[in-house]
Amino acid sequence: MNEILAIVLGAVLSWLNFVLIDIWMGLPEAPGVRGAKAIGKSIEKRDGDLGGGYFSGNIVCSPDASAGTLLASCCYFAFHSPAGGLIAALFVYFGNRICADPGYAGTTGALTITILIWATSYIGLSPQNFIVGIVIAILTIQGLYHPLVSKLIGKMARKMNRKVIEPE
Amino acid sequence: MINDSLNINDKNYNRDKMYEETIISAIIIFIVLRLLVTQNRLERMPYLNVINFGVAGVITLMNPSPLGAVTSMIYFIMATVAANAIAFSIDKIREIEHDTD
Repeated sequence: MNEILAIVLGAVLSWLNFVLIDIWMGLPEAPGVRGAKAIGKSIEKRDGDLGGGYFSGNIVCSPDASAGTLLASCCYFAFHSPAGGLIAALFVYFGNRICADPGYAGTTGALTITILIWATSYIGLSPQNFIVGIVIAILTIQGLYHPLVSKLIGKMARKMNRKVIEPE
Repeated sequence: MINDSLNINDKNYNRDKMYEETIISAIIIFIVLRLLVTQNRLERMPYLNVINFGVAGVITLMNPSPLGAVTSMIYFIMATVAANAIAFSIDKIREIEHDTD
């Protein structure tokens, strides 16, 4: 398969994998730690959406499905087998415990991307395409323009019935 | 041969064209330039997160061995722990400054 096309396909699949799993696991609902709350409020102050801000803050402050996607692709690539994805899931689980994160988004993301890489290896995608794909995907969420992206995430979260739960 | 342990001849690891490393390096340079011009400390945290992702990816792409993967996992998880602590500190400092105002 053409290399550039493979990278674009890897980026789209990684984006869908981690955004859908993170929203489904309730990252836009509430900040897991205090730093995530501060980042969310900061994005809301810059004309963003609070749910999307909490989503960004939670990604920064604890290993979630995006970390699971990156590390599972790395391990699949380095170990040359789907067993690498399971090792990555174990490490992400330890990372979640260190960061006092109650969710299992990272472990779930690592396992689903392992299945995705294994399935797409039959049409010519390799784990390297997913490594660069998740970096491009995280660039679109965290590195371009926070207010616009947070509004998109907030809209997707409301569509998937994951609204912001106000603490007080 | 030392090259055997690095799987240079593996069909999954093609060194002719380094598209992956080039794209990730370009992204890291773009974000570093962006960090330099950003003033808001909390706005910088997501940018730092992108750099962590890029560096973890490059570590594995440059060291295609189990040890490289474990290194990038340890690096990434510890960078996340550090980012957690930095964001908490920024929030705490803002609260203290607000109280004294």
